[in-house]
This record gives sequence, C-alpha cells and structure tokens, in this order.
Amino acid sequence: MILDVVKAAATLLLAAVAQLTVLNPLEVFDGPVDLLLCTLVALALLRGAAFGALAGFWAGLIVDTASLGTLGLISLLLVVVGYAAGWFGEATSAQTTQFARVSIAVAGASALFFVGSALVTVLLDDAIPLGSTLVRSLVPTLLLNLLIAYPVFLVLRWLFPIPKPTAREVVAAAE
Amino acid sequence: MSRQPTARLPRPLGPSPRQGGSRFARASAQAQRRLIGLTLVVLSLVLATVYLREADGGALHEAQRGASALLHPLTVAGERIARPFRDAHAYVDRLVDAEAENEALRAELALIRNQLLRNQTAVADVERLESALDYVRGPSFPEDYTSVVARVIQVPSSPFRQEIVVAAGSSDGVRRDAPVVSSDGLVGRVIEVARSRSKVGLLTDQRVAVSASAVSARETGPATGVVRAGSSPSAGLTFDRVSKAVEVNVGEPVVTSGWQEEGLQSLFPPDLRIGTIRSVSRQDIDLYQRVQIVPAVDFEALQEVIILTEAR
Repeated sequence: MILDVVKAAATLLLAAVAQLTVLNPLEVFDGPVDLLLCTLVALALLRGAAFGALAGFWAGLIVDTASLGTLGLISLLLVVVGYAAGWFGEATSAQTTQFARVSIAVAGASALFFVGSALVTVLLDDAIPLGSTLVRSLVPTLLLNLLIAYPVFLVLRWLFPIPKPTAREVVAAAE
Repeated sequence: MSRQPTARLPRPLGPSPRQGGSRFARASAQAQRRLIGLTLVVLSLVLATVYLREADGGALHEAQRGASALLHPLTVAGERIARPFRDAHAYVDRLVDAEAENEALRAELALIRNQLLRNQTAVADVERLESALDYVRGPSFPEDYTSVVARVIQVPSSPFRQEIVVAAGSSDGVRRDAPVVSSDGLVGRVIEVARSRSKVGLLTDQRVAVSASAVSARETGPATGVVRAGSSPSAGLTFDRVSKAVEVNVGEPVVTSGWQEEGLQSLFPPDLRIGTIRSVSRQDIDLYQRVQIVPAVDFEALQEVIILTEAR
C-alpha cells in the first residue's frame, strides 16, 4: 500500500507538471488534452474510490501550487472526480469491458471537472461565457481525453498491477 | 469484436469489502471510504476558504510560495521540453494566415509611415508647449519604469482562468499589480507573486480591467472608458463606459489612459497599446456605446513578457 501511495504521488506529480507546462500550450481545436485527469481516473479505477479521492487531493494541491492558484479549489474538484471514478470502477468492475469502463469514466470525469470548474468560477468571479466555452473547450478536450484514456490506463495498470487476493479473502469470497 | 478481459474488483483503500465476508464488514468498509472522501472534500473547502480570506502574506500563501519554489525547476524543465513543440505549433498556425496577414501588414505599414511623419511634428510641438507651461507628467513608459523580461512557463490551465505564470518573481523585483506588456502591447497585470515566479492576469481575464482611451484627435474630447474581457476569450476585448457624446470609429487604436487623480493613479502607465476598435454600436436603451476591440497581443502565442516596475 505504501509503495502504491509513493508511486501514485510521483506519477501524479509528473502528470501535473507535464499537463501545466507541455500539454496546456498545445491546444488542438482550442482544447488541450487532460493527461492529469486521465491519470487520476485510471488510478481511481485501479485502486478504488478512497484512493481516487486521495490522489485527486494530491493532484489538485500540485496544480494549485504550481499555478499559484487558490489552494484547495482544484483539489476539491479532483477529490470529487477521483472518488466518483473510483466508485464507478468498483461498481462496474465485473460487468463491463475495460475499454468501455475507462471511456465512460474519463468522459464522465471530464464533464464533471468542466462543470465543477465553471461552477467554482461563477461562485468566485464574474459571469463566465459558459456556452461558448463549452463548445470551444469541452468538446475537443473530451475527444482528446477519450483518445488517450485507454493507453494511459494500460500504462497505469502496468505500474499499479491489480493485487492478488489474499488466501483469507479467497476463502471469505467463497463463503 | 472479441470481448476484452474484465477487471477484478480493485482493492480499495481501507478494509476490503471482501474482508471478513460479512455484510457488516462490507458496510464498514464502504462507510470508511465515504468518510475519507468527505474528509478530503471538507479539507479542500477549508483550505480554499482560509486561502481566500487570509491576507497576501498569510501562512497558506507563504507555504504555497515555498512549495512553488520547489516545483520551479520541474516546471522550467517541462517548459523547455515543450518549447520546440509550442514553436512548431505556432509556426503552423502562422503559416495558415500568412498571406492575408502579409497584405494587412503592408497596408498598415503604409498608413503608419504617414502617421509617423505627422506624429514626429506633433511630438516636437507637445514638448515645446509642455516646457512653456511647466507641465508636470505622471510616470510614463518607458522612461520611468525598469523592466524585467520573463519567460512564460505556464499558459492558462483552464478556459475559465485567463492567467499565465512567468519565470520571474519577487527576487527579480516583480511586485503585485505591476503592468505586464509584450512587444505588441499590454498583456495584463501581475496578480500573484512568489519568489521565483509570478502569476499574470491577462486582459482577457474577467478580473482585469484597465482605463483606456481611443487616441485619435476629435472635437468632442477623448473617448475614454474601461477595457475588460469580452464575452469569451475569442471575442476580444470590450471598451466599456464610452460616453455616447464622443465619436469613436472602427480602426482607431486604443491605449491605456494612465489617469492620475487626488493622489491615486492608474496601475498602468499611459499610452500602452491595447488594441484596435473592431466594431461600434449605439443603442437607445444603453447608457454607453458598445465598442469591441481586437487585442494587439496574441495571448495564445505569448512566449516572453516584460514586467514593468516603477523606477522611482
């Protein structure tokens, strides 16, 4: 567990730095790909809701610190996204194919994060051009996220292999 | 299409739902997960509330600046890696519009050459008259300012936040609210300063506004107002609070007005170029004219900016 936490912290740190410095400037059709969000969703799918929430909190702190933003705001959004993705992963692990799970989770997380960002901005600032921003940014970001979601998930699954159940768990499950 | 392998139930943080196998253990694990999620949400809210309520030099702000300094080498390294890709991206973007832009620039050059001749005469007249009247000016750019040239290391991280982060901070003499310009014109102002980096609110950010005037001479007096973000980042800027009594025309340049009044003065020195008027409309129900501006600066292609600090 501790090794997982350390690996996740380092992975999210790298993803956040890459997102802020490399990927945000490279907009395709006015929307950047969100590697950090895809990484968080993959971690949450692999390790569950609580791990997802913790990972989201850490990722948000890195983004808020590196971009000198309001501490806690991105954390708040990513905690919700991480928890929701983890919950979705736990609820659907046995029924759906991996590709579909990852795609649905990333699409939902992208929309949730976008709506959350808009809500936070409205609560803190002046009016925002939600309609035009929705068309200009959410749609391309969503499509780009879907494009990288599964490869990111595969890399993360390699980094965070699904733990084998202990003998006690196998017995308990059989009972 | 072949069905892909399904994942096994991930082992969640805290007790596994399978552990013990009993309904009670599962409910307990679920409650623990919810508690962790809720605690983190509350912690985030507390962090944000304290951060927003405390002064600029508060503990959280200081902690953030300290942590930001630790991240600085990483973000600078990332920016260096990204630069060739950004350059290539910008190059392709420019190529698409090159021909039309070339024609527009040639026309503008011819116009500016004529204006330059008239301006040189006007400047000489103004200097002579100012000296005759012992006219006292406020700080003006570039004479009364020192400049810090800084690299842009982060572009807006969200469509809702029109901010950039630059690689210069308090250790370089940057102060909060300092005007930020590029070779094309006004970019915005510094809204947050750490030791080795600063956050700049762009003119396209809803929280940044600047007093401005349209420069063409007119009998009705100067057209002054406030420039702020338009209805969307792509919609340019709005020149707000322009009286209906003055005439403004499409194509006129708009610059900072740099007002001074009763010991107060604008954050921005006068005559920094903001943009060009794109459209003007007057409606009976409006108190002011509706003026749209094309910004002089391409905010998406910023690579370096100049931060101005008053020299005296």
